[in-house]
Amino acid sequence: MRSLFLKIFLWFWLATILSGLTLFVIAVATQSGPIAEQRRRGAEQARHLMGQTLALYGQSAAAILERDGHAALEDYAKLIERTTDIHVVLLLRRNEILSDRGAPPEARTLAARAAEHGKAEVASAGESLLFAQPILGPGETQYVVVGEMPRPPGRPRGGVQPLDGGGEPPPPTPGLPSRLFGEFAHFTRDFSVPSLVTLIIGGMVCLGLAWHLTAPIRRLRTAAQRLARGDLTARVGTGRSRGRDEVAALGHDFDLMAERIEALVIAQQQLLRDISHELRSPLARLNVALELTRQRSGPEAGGSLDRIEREAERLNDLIGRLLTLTQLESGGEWIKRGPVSLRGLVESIASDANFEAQTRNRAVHAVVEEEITIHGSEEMLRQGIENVVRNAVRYTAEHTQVDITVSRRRAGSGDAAIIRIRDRGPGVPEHALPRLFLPFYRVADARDRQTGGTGIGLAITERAVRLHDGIVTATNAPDGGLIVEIVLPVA
Amino acid sequence: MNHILVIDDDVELCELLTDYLTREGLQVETAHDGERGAERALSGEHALVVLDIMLPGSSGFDVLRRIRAGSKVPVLMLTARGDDVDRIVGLEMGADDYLPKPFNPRELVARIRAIRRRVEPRLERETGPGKAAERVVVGDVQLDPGARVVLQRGHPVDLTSVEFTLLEVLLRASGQVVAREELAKEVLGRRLSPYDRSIDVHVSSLRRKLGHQLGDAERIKTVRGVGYLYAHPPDPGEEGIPKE
Repeated sequence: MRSLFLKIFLWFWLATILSGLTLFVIAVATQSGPIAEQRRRGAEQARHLMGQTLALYGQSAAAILERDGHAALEDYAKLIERTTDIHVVLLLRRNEILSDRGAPPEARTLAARAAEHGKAEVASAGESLLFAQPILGPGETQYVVVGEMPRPPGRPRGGVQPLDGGGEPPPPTPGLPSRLFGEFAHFTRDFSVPSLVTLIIGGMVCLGLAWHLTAPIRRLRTAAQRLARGDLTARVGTGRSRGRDEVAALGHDFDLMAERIEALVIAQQQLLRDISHELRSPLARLNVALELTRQRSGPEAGGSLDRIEREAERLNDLIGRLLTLTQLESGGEWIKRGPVSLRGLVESIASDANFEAQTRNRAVHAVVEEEITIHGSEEMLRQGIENVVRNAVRYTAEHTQVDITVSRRRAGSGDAAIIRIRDRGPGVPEHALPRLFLPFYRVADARDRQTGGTGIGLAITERAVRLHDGIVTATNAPDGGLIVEIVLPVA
Repeated sequence: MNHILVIDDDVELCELLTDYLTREGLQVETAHDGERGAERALSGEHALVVLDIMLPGSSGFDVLRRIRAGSKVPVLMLTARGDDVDRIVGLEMGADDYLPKPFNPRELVARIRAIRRRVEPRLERETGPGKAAERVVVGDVQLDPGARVVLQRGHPVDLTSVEFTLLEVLLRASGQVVAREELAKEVLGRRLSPYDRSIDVHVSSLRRKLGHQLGDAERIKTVRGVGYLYAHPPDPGEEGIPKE
């Protein structure tokens, strides 16, 4: 059960992580996403500030130039440079250069563009940033001042690249992998706490979801196992009828199936009971009629009446066994099971069989090496073992003993209980051994009639043992007699 | 009283049985359905009721329940062969004994006689009429064989006749084990069949009705493989009435 639960849990977690990573990569590749946004805003602000500053400077510079001339302008520019980061490189009045203090070539074009658009323009030139700001000087004359600033850290290297979204498309940026690597450091620094929180909360939600999904499946399993063990009343039930989903529907179907099975089994058991009753009523009447006859007749009739009584008893016995065999053949799986003490069972069978055997100068002796508990039907096991023991008593030679031993065989694949019944009779011909457990099979007709066998006892044993996942085999003992071995797995 | 009531829906069987049992010295009345059977059983005119538990519509148990609710008359169940459950349920409901169908009529007569024998005061039978029945007192239980009454700390305990006899046997042998075979002979008047749980069921009933404990000890101990033992009270002076 844990594997399904874990699967769901891990897959969801994986989905969360993957989508996070994918978004990250996309953001880096397309420069969209929060990081790039942040940076853009920063650049935006810086540019705005820059523009303000340059405008201020430009106003002052234009005024000074008009009033005091070029030398004063030069002093002023140097003053600005000393107190700020800004290096003013170009001052234009309309298209006339008034002051050029080492402006890079791109500055001219930038200034022209600024004048044309009437607003600030930014461009990068090699290592630094150029900023061109148009201003309205004294006398409503148009000036353009271009300043150079050292590049802010983190900006990618490259050629001219307008940051305000207009102009040429960006040139190809170098290597996504190297960029990713660089970005990842930022990513972990900025987003580690949120990521962790997402993962933890996501994880807990997945836990809950997985549990919720697998709970009804677990309930279904429990009910199925109970049904398989013989509890015909096992049902899934509606539980918290939250689900109309597929699993809930499956549970509903299971309940229908269980109901049907229960009804069938009950009907069949009732049928067997009715058959038993119908077959035995005439026998009951026959018995009483027989005794009435005995009451009314003389001793000479005694022998014949005894014979009739015996045959009636055989008939009764046969009916009983046939009904048992029928029950085991179809529906044996549904007989109630529970813990069965093999010691108690075998010792009880042995002592009763011994009592009867003593009247015929035979004996039965059981040795139970250790207590073993089998999960099964005591009634079925009793009949199965008892039939073998009865047969053994029937065939073992006079003044001999039938030995029963119960032992435990330990194996890696599971322990087994071994019940051995050994008699000292004539044994069974080799060719007949495999067919011994077939219904009505008899080794030799004449002998069986003498000893009263019906040929069904061992068939019942075989079926009963098989219903307990066991095996029964018969072999001839080297020094005469038959060994029947029942092997039953211990749960 | 020689009157026996047979409740069985098999009309022919009832005819044959009446014939047979009459020749054995018993007077037989028959009823063929549960309703009439229960009615007649509660009349108190019979020494014993033979009840077919397999009456149609599971009314056999209903009849047993009704009889037990109103009478202590001994009930012998006729059960289906091989059906242990019905047997045990019937015994727990208060039937005295059972006999699987088809049965040997000689066996039926033997059991009928055994049950009737049990109902008569045992000591009178053994030592002759006239001798006063001796009360048996062990711990908090007082048993009067003559009146067939059991008192526990002064209060009467409702026992069936077979439970009464069983208790009597155990009390008389209190502190000692009584073998199951011995109990069957004394109480049921017959041998125990293999896997026969009759005695065990009746012991369970006794435990339930008298309580599982006697002081600190188990009242009726199971001795595995042998039988049962009624515990000797810890101190005769402590518990209830001292022995007379």
